[in-house]
Amino acid sequence: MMQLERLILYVLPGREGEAAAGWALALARRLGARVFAVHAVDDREQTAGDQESEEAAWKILYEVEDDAFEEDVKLSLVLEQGDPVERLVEVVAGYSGDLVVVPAGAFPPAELVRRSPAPVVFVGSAAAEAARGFKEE
Amino acid sequence: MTKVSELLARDAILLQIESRDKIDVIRELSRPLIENGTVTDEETFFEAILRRENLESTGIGLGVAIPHARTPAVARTALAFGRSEAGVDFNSLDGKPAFLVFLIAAPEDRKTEYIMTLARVSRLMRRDEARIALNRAQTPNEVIAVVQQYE
Repeated sequence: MMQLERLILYVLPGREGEAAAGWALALARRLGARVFAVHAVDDREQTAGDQESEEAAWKILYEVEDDAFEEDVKLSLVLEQGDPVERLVEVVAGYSGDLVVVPAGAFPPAELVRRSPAPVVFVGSAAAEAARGFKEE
Repeated sequence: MTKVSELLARDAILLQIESRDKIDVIRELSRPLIENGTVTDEETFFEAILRRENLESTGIGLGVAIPHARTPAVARTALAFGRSEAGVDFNSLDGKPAFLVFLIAAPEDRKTEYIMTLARVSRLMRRDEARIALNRAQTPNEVIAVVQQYE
């Protein structure tokens, strides 16, 4: 039977990002899986705001970490730089991810699904109900 | 928002950490925060810190670790900094030991300040120049000056 021991969560701010994080943490808690929370700062075009972008990225990563701590979920933070899809695919391969959880609308689905070495789940804010279901069971 | 350099007291800067084990390092770095009244309940604080260390790696790679806790056992947000010559295993994802360690303590009700402080320290420590300068600093005042320069 397929084991889901390592969930790779792409972290973004906003409703869809919160929904995906909530869903992934609830699933990880239920399965006893570790979550690798990932964000990539797209620095392919250098701008004066790069420092702020990196700080904002750490902020959303640590917000997810704080939620994981409250829910007793094992979690590691990964901050990457460059093309987000490319970096995410590398992280999935590098950490042997079993499942990739991505906020709805974060990436063109076809490209990520085609390149990812693990199955990809896109989670939208409507899926918050599903996460609640994981917690209650 | 309070700057990182303002949260780091001179008496909480250890230029040479003696301990080799991460739990002992955390205890060593906590000592000044207990003595200066930042940490009001030592056991509750350690419980929160150790629970987090069991759930996740606070080693962010590049030879840096940022153990942290937000708990009622802390009176105000504060940092301690320590430097290890030998390196300490913080289970970093890159598999490398930590030579620079920032301990962050925050009160339970200061979540925004806590998250922002973690984000700022993490961003600061990804800069090669900042890590090199912290490794070269000879006094606590120089450590604070480096943090001020790069934050």
